[in-house]
Amino acid sequence: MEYTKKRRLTIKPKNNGLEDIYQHDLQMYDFPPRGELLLTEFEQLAKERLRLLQHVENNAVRTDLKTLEERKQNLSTALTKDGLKYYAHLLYAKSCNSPTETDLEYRRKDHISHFILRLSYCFESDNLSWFINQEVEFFKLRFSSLDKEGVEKLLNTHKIECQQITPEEKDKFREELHLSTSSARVKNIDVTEFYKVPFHKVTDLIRSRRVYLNQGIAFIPQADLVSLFASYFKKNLYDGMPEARMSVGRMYGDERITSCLKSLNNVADRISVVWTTDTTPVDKLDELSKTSYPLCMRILHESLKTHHHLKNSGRMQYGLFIKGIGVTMTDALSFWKTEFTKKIDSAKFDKEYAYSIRHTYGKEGKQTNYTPLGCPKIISSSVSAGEYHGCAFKHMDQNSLRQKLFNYGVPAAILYISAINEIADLAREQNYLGACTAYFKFIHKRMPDKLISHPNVYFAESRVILANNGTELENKDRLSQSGRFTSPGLASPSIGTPRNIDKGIGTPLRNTMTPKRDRGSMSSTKMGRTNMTPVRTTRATPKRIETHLNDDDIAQLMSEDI
Amino acid sequence: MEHLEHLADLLPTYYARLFPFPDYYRWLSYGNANTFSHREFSFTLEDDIYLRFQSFKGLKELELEIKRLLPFKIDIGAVYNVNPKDYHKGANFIPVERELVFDIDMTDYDDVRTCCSSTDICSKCWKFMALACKILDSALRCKRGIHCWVCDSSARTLTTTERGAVAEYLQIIEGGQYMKKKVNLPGDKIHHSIKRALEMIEAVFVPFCVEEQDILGTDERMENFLQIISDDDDRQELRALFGQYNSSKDRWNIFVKYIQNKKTTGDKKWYQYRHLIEEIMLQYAYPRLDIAVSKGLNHLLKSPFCVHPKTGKVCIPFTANTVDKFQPDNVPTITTLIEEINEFDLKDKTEQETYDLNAKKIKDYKKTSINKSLRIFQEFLWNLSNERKESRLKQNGKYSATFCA
Ligand SMILES: [Zn+2]
Repeated sequence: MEYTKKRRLTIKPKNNGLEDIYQHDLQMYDFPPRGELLLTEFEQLAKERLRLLQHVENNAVRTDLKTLEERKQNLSTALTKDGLKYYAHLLYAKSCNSPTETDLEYRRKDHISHFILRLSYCFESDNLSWFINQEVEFFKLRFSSLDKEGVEKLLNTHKIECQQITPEEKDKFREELHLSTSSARVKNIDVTEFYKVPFHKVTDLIRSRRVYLNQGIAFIPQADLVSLFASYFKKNLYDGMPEARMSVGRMYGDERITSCLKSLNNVADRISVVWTTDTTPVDKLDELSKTSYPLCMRILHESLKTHHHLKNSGRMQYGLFIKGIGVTMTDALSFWKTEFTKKIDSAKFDKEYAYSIRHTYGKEGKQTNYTPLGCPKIISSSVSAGEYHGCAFKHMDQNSLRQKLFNYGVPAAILYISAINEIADLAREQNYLGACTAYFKFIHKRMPDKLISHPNVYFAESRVILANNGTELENKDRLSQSGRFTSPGLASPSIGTPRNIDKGIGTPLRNTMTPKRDRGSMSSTKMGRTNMTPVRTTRATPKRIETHLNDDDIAQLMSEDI
Repeated sequence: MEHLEHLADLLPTYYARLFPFPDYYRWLSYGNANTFSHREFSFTLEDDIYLRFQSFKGLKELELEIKRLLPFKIDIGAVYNVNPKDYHKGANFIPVERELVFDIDMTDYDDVRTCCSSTDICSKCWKFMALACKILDSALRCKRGIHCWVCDSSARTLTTTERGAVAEYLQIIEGGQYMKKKVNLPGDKIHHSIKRALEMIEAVFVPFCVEEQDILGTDERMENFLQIISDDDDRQELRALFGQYNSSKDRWNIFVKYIQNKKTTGDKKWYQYRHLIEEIMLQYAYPRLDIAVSKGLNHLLKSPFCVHPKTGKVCIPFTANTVDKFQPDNVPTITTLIEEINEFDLKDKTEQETYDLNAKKIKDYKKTSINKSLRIFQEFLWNLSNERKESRLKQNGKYSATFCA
């Protein structure tokens, strides 16, 4: 798209042509806006769109909102409260055929603001996937508001590969269609229309086994058409990015626009990691796991200590977490090694595990600096037999969860039966963040100040509270009495106190984000340790494929869509 | 397990006389020389020296390098946009194509098999594999084994997202150490693909799992089983009922009766138990896939016809039709194969006199028990090349091979 240098908006005769351009409430954004725009409007539209997407994201992580209607209602309320009435309106728009001037104006704003954010988000892949995920989520919510006519109109105006099945086909596959389609969504096969689409256009439906699949063709009921449209929508967005990057290139001369675009993705307040900049010594982890770890990490820590082993995904989840709380790479290596070598010999450890630990610190392979995983990522992880990672509130069954909470003494003083019930009930209702917050509440005897959406935020919140309580001092006394700390300095209250905050959602960030402590850990005194084991030439460094992922696997693990 | 300290001494003969280079090349080139030259291979040499991003211009170069390096293990990676050997450090090095692969690790069955554990495998637990083969076969219309390679052109060009979708579609056992019930079927009905798998499992579940694996045969196994039942009262009652019977089969029957009774009596817990019997059968017998392997384009996987460095077993292809007869203990080892050649040569002295490596290569296979596997492999290659011919006219077709780890 071209934003011309002139700053005057000249909508000639009011709405002339707008009705032709904006025929539908729901847009696929497959053509860029034309015309001129005041810089102030440019900025305002962009900022409002960004706020919209932030609301969409906050809404999406609310696992307590069960039905689609609840989700939409919640989002609509938030948008209205934030002065974004036109987005609330669009959320429920049906695509009426005779739009009012207001309708058209809203559609125009929707169109332009989307394209401005494209310009801002098209460069960095983390930014881009965040942007696209939120846009797709908003699209799906809006799609659900369309009436039959609205859907048909959308289908007709865009080239979407999909073919309604014939009555003969329906008879032939009646039993399969009946079994493979949810009765909550399709009451009666006979009165439902089915469409044949290539399976790769509806991977979400395949993944969750919600449709009948035959020879690579998915048979989707009308009610699931949204998946098909969303997948086209998403592809459209990805396909439009090279063009957006070129547009930005053409605008380079204009300082005001480029600085505005830059400011947009800086303010994106996403689920943020809280990095702890102070070094946390590994011999404090046992204690910290009880006082300041979220349940998922406490379980991983405990399993590691008990079994002297963690499978790959568990090592990733826990390894990145301790990196985030300020364990240096050298310490992390010795921490894992101490545990693992209770079961395997040290040469095997160096050969099979050390690489991936250094890798998470950005010291091997592509040198990507990985960010600790956030809750959405952890909640959506897949956990198999013999594994302990994932979200405790999602991936533990009720009996195991209650038993674990009981063993962990939840809580020390209050009537623990009710506390366990409260947490377990929230987990059963799939309100995982709520359950985690409740766990925090019982451990700390107060609520966290921030919404818990990241294990490292949980940790940081906990450290702040404990530091203020002076609990830390008690701990220090207790620890020195037990003789585990010879130097009281080691238990300094500053340990684990969060300092800087950066943004990201558990996706790899490039080296720019490398916390400063990494460089410190490479000091010459500590380098000695890594030299203890002889290594062959670097070219042929031995490593085992079965036991650790390669770089690309890790990158993929970290960046998959939630 | 036999000792293989002398593997390095056997490999030259193996690669010179037994490894099927021409067929191997024919497979991985898929009728296109670039497909082969852009393919990543990785070699593990003696003493765990590991070489990634090897690639070869053609059959000759591959054969020469393998004979020169004598790899203890060969892994096959993806086909890249450029040749991996020269360009893997470049900025635009991306995988573009790979077979859709399924990997089943016998250790993942440790909580449901009672005959072996860890990497051990006997003819009893091979039945888990056999069942897995048949279930995947019907789901994918393909043939696979411990590693299943789906090789037709539409499968090779799937994206990561699409591979993930297929893998998750087939993955129904989920949950870690703290999730005792690992199969949860949503809704009132059972999806067509699971129903199909269940039909195959139901046919063998009692003789195989209940009786042979004896899943309710000891107190410990009963306890493991009962953990799947989340309701305390029902678990207690079932525990007491199990105590009244002695055999695994009787206990299973009384369990089935107990649950079905919930339906007939209109118990309000029935909804929670509506699929329980099916879910438990799936938990005990459905294929346990390592889906990370299937999802990635660039995951490396052990090549067929390479030799297991510890056991000396040769990784050989088989098909779903023959999987029941397949005996994991009878997989040819490098030692036996070489012995077979030698025995044969001894018997056939005239051949031994005019000993010429190149001229006799085909015959060398035929002297050994690897011959049958090679025929399977060649049949698969024939199907693949037919697919290519047909695809000029129309799309689709599914041909694949199976390789045993
Ligand atoms: Zn066995």
